Amino acid sequence: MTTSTVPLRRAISGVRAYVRHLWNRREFAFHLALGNVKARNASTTLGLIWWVINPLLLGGIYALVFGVILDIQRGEENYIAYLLAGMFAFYYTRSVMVGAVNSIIQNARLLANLPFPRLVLPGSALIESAVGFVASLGIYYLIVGPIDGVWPGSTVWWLLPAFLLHTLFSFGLGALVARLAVPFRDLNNLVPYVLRLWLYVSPVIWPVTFLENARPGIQQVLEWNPLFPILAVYRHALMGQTLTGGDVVVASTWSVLLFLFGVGLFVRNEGRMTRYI
Amino acid sequence: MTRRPAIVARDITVSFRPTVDRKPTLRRSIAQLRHKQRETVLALSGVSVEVMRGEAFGIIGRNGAGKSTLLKVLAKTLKPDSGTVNVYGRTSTLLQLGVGFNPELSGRRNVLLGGLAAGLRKREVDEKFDTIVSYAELWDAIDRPVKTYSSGMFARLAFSVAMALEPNILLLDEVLAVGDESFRAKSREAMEDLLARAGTIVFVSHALPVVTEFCDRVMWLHEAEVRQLGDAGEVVAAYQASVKKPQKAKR
Repeated sequence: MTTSTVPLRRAISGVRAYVRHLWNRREFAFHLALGNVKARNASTTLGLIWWVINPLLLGGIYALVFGVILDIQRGEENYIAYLLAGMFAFYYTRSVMVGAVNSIIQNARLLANLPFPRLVLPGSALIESAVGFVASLGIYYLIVGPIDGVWPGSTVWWLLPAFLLHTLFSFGLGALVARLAVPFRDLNNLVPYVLRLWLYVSPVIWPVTFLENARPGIQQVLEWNPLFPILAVYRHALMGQTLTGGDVVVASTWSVLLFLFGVGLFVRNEGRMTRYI
Repeated sequence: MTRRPAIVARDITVSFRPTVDRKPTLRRSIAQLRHKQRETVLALSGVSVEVMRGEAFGIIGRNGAGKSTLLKVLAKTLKPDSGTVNVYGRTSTLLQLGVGFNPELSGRRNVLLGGLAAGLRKREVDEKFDTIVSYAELWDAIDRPVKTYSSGMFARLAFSVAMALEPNILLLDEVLAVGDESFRAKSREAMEDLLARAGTIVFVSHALPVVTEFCDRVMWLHEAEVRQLGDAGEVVAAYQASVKKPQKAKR
């Protein structure tokens, strides 16, 4: 055995132990998420049905404003299908990020009192968001089918890799922001603005073809945005738009790297987290 | 006496950056990096302690002496700057009551949440559910939101959940002063039971008579360091003497 393999082995066994601890706490993560949703809807009449109503209203408003009033479609035939695919996916990332940050700050008492792998908390936020997102995908065709005539086609199985990559991506980002927002609370104020900007520079409201008329250089810069390839995979899955191999490679690379980076940074020194809350 | 240790902590040092007014915001961190000045406050400085099985161990000292920080280190929710902690046994921490509880939800759901937070499996919580509710004497209120509970009811439920973990080691931070006389008697009884089963209790309190009566040994923390450690009666007496002195001087 060479000396260089020893730290590597130690690192691998450390990761395995952490994952095992995390897995042991899966019920906790799940019931924490369920409890949050129940508590939030405890005083509403419709209760958990809001999980479906929220994306319905969200989609309806954006379809009305951008599809009907502003008539932004510009060369995108199935604009409502295009818009909602992007919007629901974007809101998933958004909700994972915001949820991850809040999960640490709002559960300060848990962190101070009980030892458990801290990734349980953003993990719980992820479960909450993922269920909401899956519900929104469920009603996607209910809106888009009658309006645009877009129904599930042969490419719909791509939803699985799209969801998987996008989840890695969003969770990595959420863990990263949560980790940074604990000592630097200023970030907490900044996150909504960054998300708003990100929504507008992503191909959610405007079609990708829209950029062809933009000033030179803008398209090249904007296309670094990892949501370009990720949304391309979703739109391939949901509405059969063409997908290039390049998109898949870039989306996968971004997702895996961001996941490893964000989660790695979160887990490293997570013992220090208690000091800041 | 050759008893086995339940907790062995060596040379624990914890330092904080002052947090209350001066959170480490981005701007200050950058300023600190530039000036290479890092103000820190020592919360614990080279504290070592060994707590035996079957022992009730008290921690006393003024506010800000480092008592709660030490408990957090023993509970492993706070990683010390240096030093090691070894804990032999199943620990239940009651640094605050009702951790993991969500006041909007029913007592029933909170038993589950509190149990899962403390490290039980759902199956285990389900098995112990009847015992927990009976012990807390809350059968009538268990399906009501916890926010409607009185503070005594809340404390009973939280304590029952913590005891359901069947800990060998209990870390307490002044939480059992709540509730009525019968709850206090009950929690006292549970703690005596634990000691009789060779369990261990570490106990932070300002209620000195209780500490003297209940604890075998006591540690007196003063400004992040161990001032005195030994027989409960002696240490408490020395602490009381030191607290009274400055008051006399003032007169």
